[in-house]
Amino acid sequence: MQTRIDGKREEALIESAQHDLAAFEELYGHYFPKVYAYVNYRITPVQEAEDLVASTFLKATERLGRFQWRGDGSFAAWLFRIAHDLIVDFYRRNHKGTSPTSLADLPELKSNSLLPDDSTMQKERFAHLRHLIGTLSPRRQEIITLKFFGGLRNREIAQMLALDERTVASHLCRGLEDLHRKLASEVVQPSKESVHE
Amino acid sequence: MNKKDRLAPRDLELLAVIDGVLANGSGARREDHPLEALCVHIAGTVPQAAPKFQKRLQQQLTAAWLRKYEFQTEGAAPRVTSKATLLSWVRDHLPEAFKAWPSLQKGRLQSTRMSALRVSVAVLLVASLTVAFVPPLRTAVVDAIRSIVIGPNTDAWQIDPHANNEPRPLPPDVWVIHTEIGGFGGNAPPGVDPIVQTVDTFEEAQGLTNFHLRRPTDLPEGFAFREAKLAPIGGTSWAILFYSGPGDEIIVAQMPGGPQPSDDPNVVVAIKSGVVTDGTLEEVDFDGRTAAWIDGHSLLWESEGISYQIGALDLDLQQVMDIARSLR
Repeated sequence: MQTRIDGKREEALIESAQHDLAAFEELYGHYFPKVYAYVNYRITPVQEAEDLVASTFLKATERLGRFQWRGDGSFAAWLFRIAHDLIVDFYRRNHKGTSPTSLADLPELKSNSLLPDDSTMQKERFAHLRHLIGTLSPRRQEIITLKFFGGLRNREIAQMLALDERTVASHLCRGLEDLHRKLASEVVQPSKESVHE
Repeated sequence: MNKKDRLAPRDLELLAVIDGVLANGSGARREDHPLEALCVHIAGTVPQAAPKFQKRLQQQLTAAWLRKYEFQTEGAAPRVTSKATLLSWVRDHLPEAFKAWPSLQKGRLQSTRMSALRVSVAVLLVASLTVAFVPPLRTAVVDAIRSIVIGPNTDAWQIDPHANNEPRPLPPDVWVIHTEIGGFGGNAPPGVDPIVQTVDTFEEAQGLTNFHLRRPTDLPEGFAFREAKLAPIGGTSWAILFYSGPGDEIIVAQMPGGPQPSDDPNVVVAIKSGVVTDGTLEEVDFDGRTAAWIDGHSLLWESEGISYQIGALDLDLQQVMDIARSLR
């Protein structure tokens, strides 16, 4: 279940965050899991993703004084814009495409199970899902991961990507339909993609 | 008509499914929708950070936040009339700095994750005195003529040499070491006497510090180790090595910065250091690192979390860099 901070509270936290460490910590605590999840769907291996998550928050800390509140969702859009730009830079430098992934290169997944086999299965599911999302256009990858893992509303995604909100909604829907079709076709023809240890 | 009204009904339906899944976790709202299961699958496959990474990043962010925001307060830069009165200026600010400590610590204790942050900020004194641990001092240097960020734990500032400060006694937990290149000062941790120890051998100095002390292996002819002084700061020490020879004394100072080991698991100890000068401050490149060349005789840089400063009154930048490169 995705959680959100009430707009007024968030505005107050941001205002306090430059002189109250507790306020800064609360903001960080709220956004860290979202940024972490979003970045891990866009970047592999997990070590690189973690570096990028760290860079995102360090840049955000540095630039916090320059952020201007523009209403509910403006901070999320600003923060994820930092992450997005770092991801773009990463791809420019690395030119990495989708490739078979070792389990060690994958992040842990949220799970209620303590069984190691379940953990392995979860990682495989994640790798598969990430691969499928990676076959979408960059725009749709971005929008789906921001929506599902960044916890951003369509309006916030639109603000971040300088798009019309309707365009974001269209991309989201078309992207999910594409994923659905790819999954359905895999049932007929199993994927050749593999995860190895 | 709002923007959603221009979307096809099937899209509106799917958007409602997505919002429902994200709001309610894996509990389906529209089980009959063909994409509901996919949305649940996506929403349920969430990467989660390892605790070790989270903790490490928290520490990094705390340090970054402190460096950026803890010392930014209002107020005008203090003025110092000459190098000799920098010490007076520091004395002026130290009482305020230590008044700020209780509230600083109290604020930290309310946090359950990064609680009770105790910041010891040591000071490299150059030209006369350098202090960086004092928030009001840092306030002052925020208004400095210029500043250089040397590393995550080290800064340098150049201030305008006009002041009107009368000498006042230092607080009881502050130590000062005077050298030919300037004074070094800092505050001893709570419960520790601000006593500077002097030892006659490098090995003794290493035995009294909890980090790897480095010494120069390439010095101008005729120079040899004379003594080391060690002063307590934030759970570690500031080590100053003195080398005597035919010319002016060569000073090699080093101190770890950033988060330090703490006896109390609820307390985070961090060290910052910096140099303030009313003389000259030049940003230089030291083998790919940002460094500061201070007053024409002292080089300041940070490497692997440790602040280093080497200088002598009669050595130029290249000579000091050569000595710095020979540290082992």
